[in-house]
Amino acid sequence: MAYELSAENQQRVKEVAARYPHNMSAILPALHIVFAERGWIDREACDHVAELLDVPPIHVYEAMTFYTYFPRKPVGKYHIQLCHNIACNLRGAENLIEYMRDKHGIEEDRVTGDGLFCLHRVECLGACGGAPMMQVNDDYYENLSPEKIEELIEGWKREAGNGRR
Amino acid sequence: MALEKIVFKGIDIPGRTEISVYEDGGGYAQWKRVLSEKIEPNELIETVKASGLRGRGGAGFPTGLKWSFVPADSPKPKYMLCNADESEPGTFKDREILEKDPHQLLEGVLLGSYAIGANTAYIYLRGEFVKGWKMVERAIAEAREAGYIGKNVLGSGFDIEVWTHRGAGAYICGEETAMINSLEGKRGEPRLKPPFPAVEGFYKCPTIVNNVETLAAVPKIVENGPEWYGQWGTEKSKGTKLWSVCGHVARPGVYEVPLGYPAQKFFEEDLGGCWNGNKLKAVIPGGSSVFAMTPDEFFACNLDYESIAEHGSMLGSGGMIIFDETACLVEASTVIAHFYAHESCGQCTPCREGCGWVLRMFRDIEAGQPQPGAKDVLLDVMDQIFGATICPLGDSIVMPIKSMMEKFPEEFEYYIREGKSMVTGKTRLAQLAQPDKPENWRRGEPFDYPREQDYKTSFKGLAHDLSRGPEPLFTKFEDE
Amino acid sequence: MPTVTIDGKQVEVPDGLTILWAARKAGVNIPTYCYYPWFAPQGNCRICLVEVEGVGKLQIGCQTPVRDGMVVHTNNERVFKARRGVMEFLLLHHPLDCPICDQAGECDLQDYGYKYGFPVGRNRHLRRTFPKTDYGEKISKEMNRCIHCRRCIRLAEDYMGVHHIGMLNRGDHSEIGSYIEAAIPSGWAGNVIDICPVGALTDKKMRFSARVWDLEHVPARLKESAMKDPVKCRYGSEAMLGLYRGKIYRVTARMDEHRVMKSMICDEARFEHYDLDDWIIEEDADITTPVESGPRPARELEEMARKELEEEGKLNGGRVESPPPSEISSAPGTGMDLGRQTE
Repeated sequence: MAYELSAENQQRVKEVAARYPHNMSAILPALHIVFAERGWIDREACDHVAELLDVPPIHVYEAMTFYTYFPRKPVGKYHIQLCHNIACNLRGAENLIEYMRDKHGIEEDRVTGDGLFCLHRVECLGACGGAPMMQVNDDYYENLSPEKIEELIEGWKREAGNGRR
Repeated sequence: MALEKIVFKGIDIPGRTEISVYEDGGGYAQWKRVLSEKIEPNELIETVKASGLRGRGGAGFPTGLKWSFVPADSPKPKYMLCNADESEPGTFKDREILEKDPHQLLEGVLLGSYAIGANTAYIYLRGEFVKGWKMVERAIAEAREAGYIGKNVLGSGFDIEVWTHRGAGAYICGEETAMINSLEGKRGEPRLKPPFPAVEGFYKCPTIVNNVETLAAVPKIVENGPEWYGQWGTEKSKGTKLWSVCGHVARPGVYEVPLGYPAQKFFEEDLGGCWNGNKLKAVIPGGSSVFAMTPDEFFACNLDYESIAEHGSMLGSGGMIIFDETACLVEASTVIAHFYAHESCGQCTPCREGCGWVLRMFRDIEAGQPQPGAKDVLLDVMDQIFGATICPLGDSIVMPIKSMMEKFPEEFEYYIREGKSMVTGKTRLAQLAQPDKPENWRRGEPFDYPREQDYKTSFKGLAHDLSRGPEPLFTKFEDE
Repeated sequence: MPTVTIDGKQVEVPDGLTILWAARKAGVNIPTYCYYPWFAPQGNCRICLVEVEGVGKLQIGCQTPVRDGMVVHTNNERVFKARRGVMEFLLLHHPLDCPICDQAGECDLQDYGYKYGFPVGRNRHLRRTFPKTDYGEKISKEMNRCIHCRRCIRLAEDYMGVHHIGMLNRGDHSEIGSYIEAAIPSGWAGNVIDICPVGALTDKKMRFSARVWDLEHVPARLKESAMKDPVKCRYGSEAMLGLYRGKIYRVTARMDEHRVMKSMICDEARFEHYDLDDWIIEEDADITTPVESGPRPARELEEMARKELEEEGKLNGGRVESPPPSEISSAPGTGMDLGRQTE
C-alpha cells in the first residue's frame, strides 16, 4: 500500500504550495509535513509528494537525499540528536555519547530494542552557548551533563510506560 | 557614547514575543510611518546606506549598497529573503532574536521589502529551530491580524506577504545562492556568480538575501537615523555587533557590543575569561570558518571588521570559539574537518573530494597511524582546496585548520610523531587502528612517496607540450 | 571588440566571449570536464582554472567573460598546481581500471591525467565505491568512475526533456542516478554515453568487445529504408561508425576535436543497426569545426521530422507507426521550464 498523507495534510501541502511562484519550491515544506506526520521519509513518501505537487519525482529524491534532517528509516519514539561539533566537543559531548552507550545501551545510528531511542551524532545545532546540547524530537536540551541525561532518559522511559526501575 | 543595545534592546522585556508588548515599546511605528508618510523606497535605501550597516551573516557587505543593486525598473517581481539558516558552528545569535524578539525581525523584513519593492518575503529558517519557527509563524499571524501584512497594508496601496520556509539540515544553504536554490526546491548548491541574486535570484527575479541580525537592526536605524547608528563603531565598521561566545569560556552567551570594542576588555570583563580560570590558548573569532588567533593576536585587536582582518583573521558571523589550555587542537581540527566534510554539497571537485580526504587524514593522525609526511600532505591538500571552489565553503575548512597548524605546529607534530595528544596524552581514535574493525580506513604498509622535487619535472614537460599549440584530441581516425 | 592577451598571444575577440573560447581562438587549449558548449557553464569541475592578472583568485575559464586588456595565463606554475590539485582530487577515488574500461583511449580523465596528474598517489585510504546500477539494458553506469560533471543530467533535462536522473546524496558520496534504478525513458537516452567525459556511462553492446584505438571511425547516415522509426531517425542518425575489420562495433554521435557532439543520435541508430548495409557512408562530413552551441532538443527534432514525413506522405505509409508525441513525452515533467514560467 503506497503511503499517503491524511486528507487534511494533503490540503495543507496545496495551501503551502500556493505561497510560491512554482510548485518546486513547496518540495521542502511538503517533506516537512510528511516528516511531522510520519517521522521518517522513504521513496513512497517522495512519490506521494511528487504526485501532490505535480513535479518530477527525481527532484523530490534529489532534495530528500540532500537534506539530512529527514531520517530515511524509522528512528524510534525519542530521536536523540546529539551535537558533537566544536563547541559541544570542547565541553564534553563525547563523554555523553559514551555515557548513553554504556549506561543505557543507546548506540549510535541504531534504534534500541524497545523502539524508544535512537541516537545520532549531528553537526552544530546552533545552540553553542548551552553546549553540550542535544535535540530530542523538536526540543532542545542544553547544558547537559551525565546527571541531566540520566534524569531525562529516566523521565522518557517512565513517560512511555516502560520504566525499568 | 554610552554602551547601548540596538538589536537586543528589548530582548529581555517579558512577553516581547507578543505583538502588544512589542507595539508598546514603539514597535511597528516605523512601518506605519513609512507607509503613511509614503516615504520613497530610495530614501530608505539611502538611510541604510548612510548608516554604514554591513551584512552580519559573515561577508560584511554594506546592506544599503546591496539593496541599491536591485534594478528598480525591472518588470519581474522582486523578493526579500531573510537568512535565518544559522548553522555555523559557534554562532547562535540569530536564534535568540527568532525566539525572543521575532517582531523586530519582522518589522525589519517589512521595511527591507518596502525599500527594494518586494511584495513577497520569505524567512528561511533552519529546520532544527522548531521553537524559533513557531515564534516567527505566530508573529506573522499576529502582524497579519493587525493589518501590517497583506494586501493594501494600512491603506497605503502596498502589498506584502511574508512566509516562513524551513530548511532541513544543510549548512551550505546559509550561502545566499544556495539558499535561493533551496527555496526553489532544488538541492542547496551554490550558483556561479555573476549574475548576483540582486539581479537574478529566486526564479531569475531580483532577490535580496539578508541576515537576521542585519534586518533586526533596520527598524532602529529607520527610527533614529543614520547618524544615531553611526555614533557606535569605528570609521568603517559602524553600529553594534552581536557576539555569540562559546567554548571554554566562563560566561558563554550572546553579547551585543559596539564594533571596535577592545577584544581584551571584552574577554576579561564581559566574558569573565576562560572557565575554571584556565589560560587562553586560541580563539576563532568569527564562527568556525575563519582563521584561528593566538591570545597575543586576539588581545591586540579590536572587535571590528578591519582590526580583526589586520590581525590575521576575519569577523565572519561573530561566533567566537574560545580554546583554553586543555583543548587539543588536533582533535578540534578533526571535528572541524568532519563538519565541513559532512556539509560539503558535493558540487565542485576540490571541496567534495578534498574535505573528506582532510578528514580521513586527521582520523589517521588521531588513530596514531599517520601516513609518512602527513603534515606536508595535509598542508598541500588544503592549499589545493583553497581558492579553487565555487563558494567559500572550501576556504572555510582550510582557514581554521591551516591557521592552527601554522600557529601551533608543535602540537600537530607531536601527535604525528608520538601518536598521542600533547595535551591530553591520549590517542583519541585508537580503535580505528585495529585492523579487524570495519571502520578501518587504512590499508597496506606505509610507503615513501616522492616529494615536490621529484614530480616537478612534469611541469616542465607540460610547459613544453602546450607551447606548441592546442593538441587535437580526436585525431585517431584521421591519422589512419 | 576587446583585445586580450592569452599566454603572451594577443587576440581580438567578440564581446562577451569567455576566456575558454578566446583561448581556443588564440590556439591555446584549456582543459574542461563539466563545460559543454551545449549548456550554460556550471563551473563545478574546476579544471579550467586560469590566472587573470589583477584578480586574486584563479578564475574559471568556462564562465569568466573577457574584458578589454585582460592578461590571462593558462600555463604558468600556479595554474598548473591548481589543475594538478583538481586532477588529484578527481583521481582520488577513481578506480585504476583503464585496462578494462571501454572509454580508455578517448577519456578526458586519461588525457588530462597524463598532463596534470601526480605521478604517484598520495591517498592511503580505501576508495569510495558505489553499488552498480545500470540505466536499463543498453547503458552501463559505473558510478565509481564518475567525476560528477553532471553533463548527463543536463543533457537529459535540457535536450531529451526527461526529468529522470539527478544528483543524490551530498558531499563526497553524492551519486548520479535515478534513485529508482530504471532506464531513462527516452528514445534518445544513449546520448548520455557520448556526453560522458569518462567511462562512467558506456555502451553495453560494445562492452569488452573492442578497443577504441583499434576502431576506424567513419561518418555515416542511416538509410531511410532501414529506419524503423523515421520520426526519430530522420534527424537522429548522423552518426559515426566504429569499424574494425569491416564490422561495426559501435555507433556514436559525430564529435569535433574537443569531443563535443555535433548532434544527438537516436537510440535506434545507436543500438539497433550493426549491419553496414543499413548505412550510407559520408566520408566528406565535417567533423573538425568546433561546436559552439547546442543542437535542437529532441522534441523539436521529432516534431520537425513528423511534419516533413507527413508532408511527404511517408508517415502513415511507413513501416512502423511512431508513437504520438504525447507518449514520447510521457516522462514526468517534460517541457517544464522554471525560468520561463515566472517571466
